[in-house]
Amino acid sequence: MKNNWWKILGVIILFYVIIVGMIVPLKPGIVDSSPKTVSAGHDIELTIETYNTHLNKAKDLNIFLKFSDDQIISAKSGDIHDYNHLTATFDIPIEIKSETSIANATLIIDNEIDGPALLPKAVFVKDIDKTRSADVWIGDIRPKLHVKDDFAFPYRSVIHETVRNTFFHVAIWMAMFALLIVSVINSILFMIKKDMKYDHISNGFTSVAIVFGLAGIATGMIWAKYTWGAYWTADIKLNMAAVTLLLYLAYWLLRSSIDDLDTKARLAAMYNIFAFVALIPLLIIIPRLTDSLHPGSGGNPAMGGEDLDNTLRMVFYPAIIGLTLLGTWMANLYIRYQKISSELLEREIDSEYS
Amino acid sequence: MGRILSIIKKEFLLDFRQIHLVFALFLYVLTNSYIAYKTFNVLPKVTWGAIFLIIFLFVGLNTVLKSFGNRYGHRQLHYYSYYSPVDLYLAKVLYNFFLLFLLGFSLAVVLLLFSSGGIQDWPLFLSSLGMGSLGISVVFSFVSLLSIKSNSNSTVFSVLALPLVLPNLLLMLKINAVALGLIVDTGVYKDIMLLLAIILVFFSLSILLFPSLWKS
Repeated sequence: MKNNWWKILGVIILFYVIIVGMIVPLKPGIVDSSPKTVSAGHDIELTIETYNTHLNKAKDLNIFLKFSDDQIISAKSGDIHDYNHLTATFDIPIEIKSETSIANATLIIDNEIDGPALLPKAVFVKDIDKTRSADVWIGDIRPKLHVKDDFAFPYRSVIHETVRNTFFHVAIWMAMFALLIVSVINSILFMIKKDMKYDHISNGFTSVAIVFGLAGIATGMIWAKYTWGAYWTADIKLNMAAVTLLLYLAYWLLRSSIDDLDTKARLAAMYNIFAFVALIPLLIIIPRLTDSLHPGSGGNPAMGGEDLDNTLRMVFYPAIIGLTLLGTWMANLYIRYQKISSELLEREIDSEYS
Repeated sequence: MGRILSIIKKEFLLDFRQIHLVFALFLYVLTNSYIAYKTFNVLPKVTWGAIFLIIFLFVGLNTVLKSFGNRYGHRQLHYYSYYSPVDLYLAKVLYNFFLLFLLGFSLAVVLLLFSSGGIQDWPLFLSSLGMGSLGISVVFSFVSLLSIKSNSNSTVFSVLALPLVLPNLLLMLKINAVALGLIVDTGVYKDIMLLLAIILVFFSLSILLFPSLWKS
């Protein structure tokens, strides 16, 4: 028990990740509103669809269009259809402060049950008269908003509920990287100390990392089918991930193609170091140079500060730790299996010659 | 440096005593270019870039990956007893680099004969070709020795070597596209620096690992 506490810890963390990651709801959000454009000085009736809201139960419902911090208008009238659908009518003023003759507004829906939800660039206003300044603005709405401190994951357009895949897909890749680091360190130790122990460790961790890599690709592909519409796209990170797997499948091929144990260990260690070095440009440098379809992208491959909020972090970081611990456990079992089989092989040889 | 030069000179002399082997490589380039041309019949710039890179890669596999191969078996003992492994590796890399660069250049010239468009930025193209040759020769020379030491078949080592040069090839593809005038990129020098950095990392790693591999 004393030596196995980390296995228990890993399992507990993974239980926490699966339960909390699957059960915690999303924050309210606005799925869509139409129409998208209106001329300045006209009325617009927006048909709005929201997500995870309780519009028909709300008593204090406010709908705003925000052009900038000091240019906000309130809805003239509204009509609630059910808990997720409503229509709202706005009087768009003719005078809006804007650099060009087109301005866009953020739609904000706020009530006391759900708190605020917003949709950026919900309405584009054209034909703005820039010469005059208006006095229809209602001023700062921030005191009027109902701030909710519920523990809920952020609502993101396109991604919706699949934001939960962060805890599995992304965390699996991170855990894979951690396992590969352990593996390459053991390869280096093997090159220095020439002890077969390190070769066993390195091989075990690489094998588990390959499994994690396959799992990472599989979770990513399922996610991509629902958000991008295809299992595989020409995205840079997908290709780099495929190459990473090729590198390590080649490592596995190299190991199985050599019979002599010492040669196998030495060559595998060398190739492992080489492959890890190739991994750094593949997974870290090149994706940062190219645009990607991945969330949080546009030069930033992993986690942009805006994309990962604190509620996600509370599950995402434990997920990485839990999966790494699980991977270590799996590697540990594989290493022990290898040790036993090589021991048995030696005994067999001994008994044949005695 | 003198020792390295003497190894290069020896390689050169030995290769040119069997001149048919060198001719075979150039013929390989010619045949492949012709096959590529006949399969497409027209070679617009996009296809040209892709075809060039693929044939170049296979030329690299054929020349460099076999550089410690069987036909050099009798030289190994000589090198083993006379030269230090680092010198030998440097000489091999340099020799392979020159050979690959020449082959790549002739490949470009032959393919340009069949192509409708030309290369707009020759200095950029040549620098990309040079760095690509260097990168491929650095990685493949090392993997070639791995393959000799393990005595297994050559398919395994093509599989090992190809993903290792992939970052190299991707950057080459991008720089080539700029040189061909397919895309406009004012920051192409960043890619060149990155390519150089990747080659440098592989190079220093090979230098570190080569002696222990060679002596075993």
